[in-house]
Amino acid sequence: MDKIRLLERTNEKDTELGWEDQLHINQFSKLNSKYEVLEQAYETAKKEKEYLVDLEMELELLDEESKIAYKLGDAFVKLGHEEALEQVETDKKAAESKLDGMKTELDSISQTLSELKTKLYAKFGNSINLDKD
Amino acid sequence: METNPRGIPKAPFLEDIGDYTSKNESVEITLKKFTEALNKYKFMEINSLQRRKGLEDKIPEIENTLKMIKHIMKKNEEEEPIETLFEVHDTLYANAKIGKPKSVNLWLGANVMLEYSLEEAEKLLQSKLVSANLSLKNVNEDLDFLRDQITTMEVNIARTYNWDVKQRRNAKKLEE
Repeated sequence: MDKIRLLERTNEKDTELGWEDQLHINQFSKLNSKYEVLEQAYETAKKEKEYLVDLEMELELLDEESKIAYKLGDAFVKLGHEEALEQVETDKKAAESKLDGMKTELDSISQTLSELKTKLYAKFGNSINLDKD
Repeated sequence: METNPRGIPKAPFLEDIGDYTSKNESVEITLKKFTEALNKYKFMEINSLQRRKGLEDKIPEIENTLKMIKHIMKKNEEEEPIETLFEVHDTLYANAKIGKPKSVNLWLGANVMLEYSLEEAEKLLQSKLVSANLSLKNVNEDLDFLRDQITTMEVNIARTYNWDVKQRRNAKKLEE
């Protein structure tokens, strides 16, 4: 429902915009777009980590004598069972620490965003819209 | 004019719209100038986004090549041959056993491939990885900076427009 809404004259607040307000708006816009990109990357990384967990379980079920073709770039290398498990374990740890880092960043961005939102709404009221439609 | 480290100019912030527009002949000309600047910033943003995409593809490629070299080095140390399935074609892989390779060939681009010793290849790729990561950091900084300038410009345009509307309204009132 897109409707062009005319502000009622009485609601219209005449607030002077200072340099500091501009900085707040800039930061809000910047963090907002960063949040979206990061959120997507987080979802992809989470899926990848889940695959690694599944993979680890599957590997444990396999015969210890069997060789595993592990994809490195464009080719596969054959790894012994133990070696492959180690490799997957390292991959999993790397994925986990990456995920943790992303989560912390997402949380801190969303906190800063809500702080900025409070500040900007307090000053500009109806004259500014910071929420997604 | 103030710029960021990569020479992108900073958007001006207007303390007082009336003061600024009066220096710029008319509101129309000011708005036109602002829209032009905004479009330039947006163009730069698209370019930087493309550059970022390229780097984001390139970095994992370098990392994978490095992983492979480390794997070869490890197998060499263990004095074991490397068993591999390598790509012959999209859907065709062949088995190979490689005994103690001393060198690798790195694809440098532009139809050139060069032979390196394992140590040299590792060093080269490490330095490429470092510089690619640095470029990525710079592009991300540029994108943040551009976002700031775009927002400032958009706010400038909106404020100038609103100021103009108010001026006209006041003028009308005076006429009445």
